[in-house]
Amino acid sequence: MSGSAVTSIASSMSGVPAGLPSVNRASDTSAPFGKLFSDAVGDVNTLESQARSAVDGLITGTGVDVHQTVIATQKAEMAFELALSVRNKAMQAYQSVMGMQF
Amino acid sequence: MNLFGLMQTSGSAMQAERVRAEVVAANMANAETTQTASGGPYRRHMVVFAADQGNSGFLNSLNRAAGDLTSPRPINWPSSEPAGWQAPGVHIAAVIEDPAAPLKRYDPGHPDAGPDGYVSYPNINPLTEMVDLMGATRAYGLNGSAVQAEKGMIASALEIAKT
Repeated sequence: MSGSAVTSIASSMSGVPAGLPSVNRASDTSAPFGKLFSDAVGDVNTLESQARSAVDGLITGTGVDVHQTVIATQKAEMAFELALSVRNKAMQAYQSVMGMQF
Repeated sequence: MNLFGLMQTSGSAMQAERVRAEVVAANMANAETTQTASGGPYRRHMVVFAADQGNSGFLNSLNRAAGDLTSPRPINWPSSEPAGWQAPGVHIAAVIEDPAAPLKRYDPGHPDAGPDGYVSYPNINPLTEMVDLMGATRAYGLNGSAVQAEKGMIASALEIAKT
């Protein structure tokens, strides 16, 4: 029962980062948790590098607009917070499983 | 819809409004320009907005997001949008010139005066341009508020995960 709770939390939360621009992962609902988490981190990384290039473009004056930069940085920040809360929940679930006495 | 689809739509709208404000500024700057590279006075520029259909059109995306009323849409994690899905948005289709006749003022001493002594000035009304600029500014702020609203929505969704 605890195993299914962990996987259900993992699959439901992996659905939210999958809303980011990325490959359709309809086939991965039964994939191991590690792959789901690494996919989410990959999405965060993509957004983060986009935000960095937007900021660079704004500072060097190559035509990136202020609002584009701000939106890119906000997207990256939100994706990171999402991944962070996924990780926190997973750690909580893991610890509650590990805390079980036999 | 994509989690960040609203931001992409609003971002494109802010871009379009910025271009509109730029065009208005160019009009105001050239209100008295009688010489241009193509000869004749400066002609007032106007922008044409066009809707970006995204991959499937605004209406289709919204219908799909809202769910089919005849059959209940299954909650399909992850998102059922195909890879490479583009959010709908707005873009500037063209910057066109006003075909209206230029303003004529009598000034035979001017270097650009025609044979009848009239100089052609651009037909730019500063009041019209100012109102247009106000409209562009307001629309820019409007779309900025939409982006902030979505940020708030995502933040409240993340609140659910906190304990």
